[in-house]
Amino acid sequence: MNHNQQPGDGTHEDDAALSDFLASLMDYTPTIPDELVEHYLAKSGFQCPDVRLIRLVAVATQKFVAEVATDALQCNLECNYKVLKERHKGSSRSWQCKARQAAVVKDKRDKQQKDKRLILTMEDLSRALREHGVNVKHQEYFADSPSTGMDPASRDE
Amino acid sequence: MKSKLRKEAKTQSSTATTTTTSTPSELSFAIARIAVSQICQSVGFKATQLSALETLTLVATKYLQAIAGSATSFTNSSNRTQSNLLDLTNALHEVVSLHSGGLSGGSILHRPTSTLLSTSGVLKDLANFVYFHDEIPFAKPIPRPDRTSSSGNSSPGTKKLDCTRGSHVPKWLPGFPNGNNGVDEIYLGKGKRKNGESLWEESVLVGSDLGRKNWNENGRKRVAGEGKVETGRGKVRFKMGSMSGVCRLENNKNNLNDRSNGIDKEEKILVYKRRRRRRDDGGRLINL
Repeated sequence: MNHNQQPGDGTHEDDAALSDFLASLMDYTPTIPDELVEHYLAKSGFQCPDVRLIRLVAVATQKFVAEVATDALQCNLECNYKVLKERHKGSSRSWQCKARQAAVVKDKRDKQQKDKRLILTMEDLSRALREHGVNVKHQEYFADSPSTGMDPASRDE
Repeated sequence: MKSKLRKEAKTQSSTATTTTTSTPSELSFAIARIAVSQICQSVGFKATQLSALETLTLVATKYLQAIAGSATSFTNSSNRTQSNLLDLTNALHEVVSLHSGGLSGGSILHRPTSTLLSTSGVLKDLANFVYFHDEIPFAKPIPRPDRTSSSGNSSPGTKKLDCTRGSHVPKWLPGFPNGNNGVDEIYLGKGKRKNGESLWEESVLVGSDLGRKNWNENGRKRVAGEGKVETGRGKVRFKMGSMSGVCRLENNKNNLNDRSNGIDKEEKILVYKRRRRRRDDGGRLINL
């Protein structure tokens, strides 16, 4: 008897919690506007008259973007921390963030100023997205022709 | 390459956002870019590379479409067109588990004793996110298309169809042909096509009694012999042999009197009769 009653009571509480959560969605305004979400949902064939579900999708997307941005920020802070750590130690070699080492060597003043100002870069973003299953590769540079930058002796002309 | 993030939406300059968007996709992408930049600013970033921002915006839009497509497929596999919370929860479990390495509660979601919020880890995470994070309203107002003025898009015929078709027909489907009574007209054969084509049921099955009482109600009367083929055709009969199973030809002398056309009386006709068979006590078939 008790086993039959407990899930019944539990479902009532969970239903109340679920309805409270959905009601709180109406109070919470997601950053992604409802019109934009409706546009992309209609593009994919999602049909639902309930506004709460649209807000749920918007909140899920916002949470995903926030997670990726947080991971990128963490990666940025870790690299800066390691660079600063290497500075204090005085060692010239660093087994991570070699690209930033070159910038540090050039202008220390500018780098100190820029450390306070956090910048979202493609490197951090690609590293953060790789943890979430998205592979992003960014071109380092674009050349005019395939033989640009090669030695004149090795060019096939 | 680098662009500053907007700290306050009201004080931002309008020069950065006055890129004329010609297509709706560009407009939606621009709106999404603003929203993503606001989220990045809330996390703590002060500036971003333009390529990084556009990449993150693209990933966010594809994530949104992935959730929607997954939810739609769950809905369609349940013979529905309108999605509900369970479809969306399943879709979120499917998509979120890809990038977070698995979530709790996905396998026991369909138990009758369990409820969505108690077993779904995704909904719990989203509830915590909503509870702990402050809301960030969108920076700029979005111009909404004026739907009341676009009367040219919807023809007056569609409005009539919405109320007469019934609730079982979705509104997004196009209207029935031949006006409001398209359903009845298809069966009655009133809506004939331009080239004189008509449904084959009308020409072949008119004589058969298939329970179509509407014909008599609408004034169409059945004429005797209406369903029969007008041109005289030779009847073909096949008669199976008694023991050897050989088909024999039989002269159809009985039907020759009914014919009005002058057909050669000695014409041989194949006759096929179905014999009545009976089973004996042992279950064997006996030919009568």
